[in-house]
Amino acid sequence: MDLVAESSTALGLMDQIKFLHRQNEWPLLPDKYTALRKALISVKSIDADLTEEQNSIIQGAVVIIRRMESKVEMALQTDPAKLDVANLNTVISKQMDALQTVLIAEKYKIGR
Amino acid sequence: MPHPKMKAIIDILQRRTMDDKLVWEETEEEGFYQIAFPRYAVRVSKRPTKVSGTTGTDYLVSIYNTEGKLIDEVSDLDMQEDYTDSDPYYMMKELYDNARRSAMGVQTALGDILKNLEESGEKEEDSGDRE
Repeated sequence: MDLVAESSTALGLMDQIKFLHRQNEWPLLPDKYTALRKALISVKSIDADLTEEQNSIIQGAVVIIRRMESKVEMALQTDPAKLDVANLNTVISKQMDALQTVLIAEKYKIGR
Repeated sequence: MPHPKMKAIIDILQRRTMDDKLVWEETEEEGFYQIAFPRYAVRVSKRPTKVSGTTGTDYLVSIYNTEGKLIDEVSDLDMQEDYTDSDPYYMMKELYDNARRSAMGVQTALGDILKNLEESGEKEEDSGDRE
């Protein structure tokens, strides 16, 4: 597996999740969160040379995505309209910015 | 049940957050703040107290594992035995308040405002000198 490819997959999934939030496509989201968590965990496991800071960035994202998944799953059983799309997407955007720094550092390291 | 390791974690988080050595982040849940480490993450939050017959707030510290699962959580009520010479409520409230300030970038904002005020004050003094 390739860290750059896996990070790019994670970033792509984050973009899709933001789009689905905006479209209020809540039933489609739990699978996307799961796929994103798996991609993030793969990124961590691929490269044993990631710095503590890089590992912490990914770990933080994993927790946020899992909690977001639980929140949406619970809302699906009650009223998804109460979910705050702007807040969810702000949080995803911050995670994307942080993950992007990991991706850039890795690309620089391997000279891509 | 005593929680000596959790107490140590809370104390260190509180001290290092107060010294601006740790940067917390906002989460998907308003009022929940998180700091991540390579294999775990810690969240602080608050809720209406579970002490029956009273109103007030409980402060919580929660630990999440590599997969993002909640593995441990304590409230200030759980920490009473561990804080013999201080009150866990105030310790955990202070940690929560400082984590919130860190996540919201309060120190940076205050520093920036202060700098702007000082610069505008200097300009006013300069123009006053020229008149």
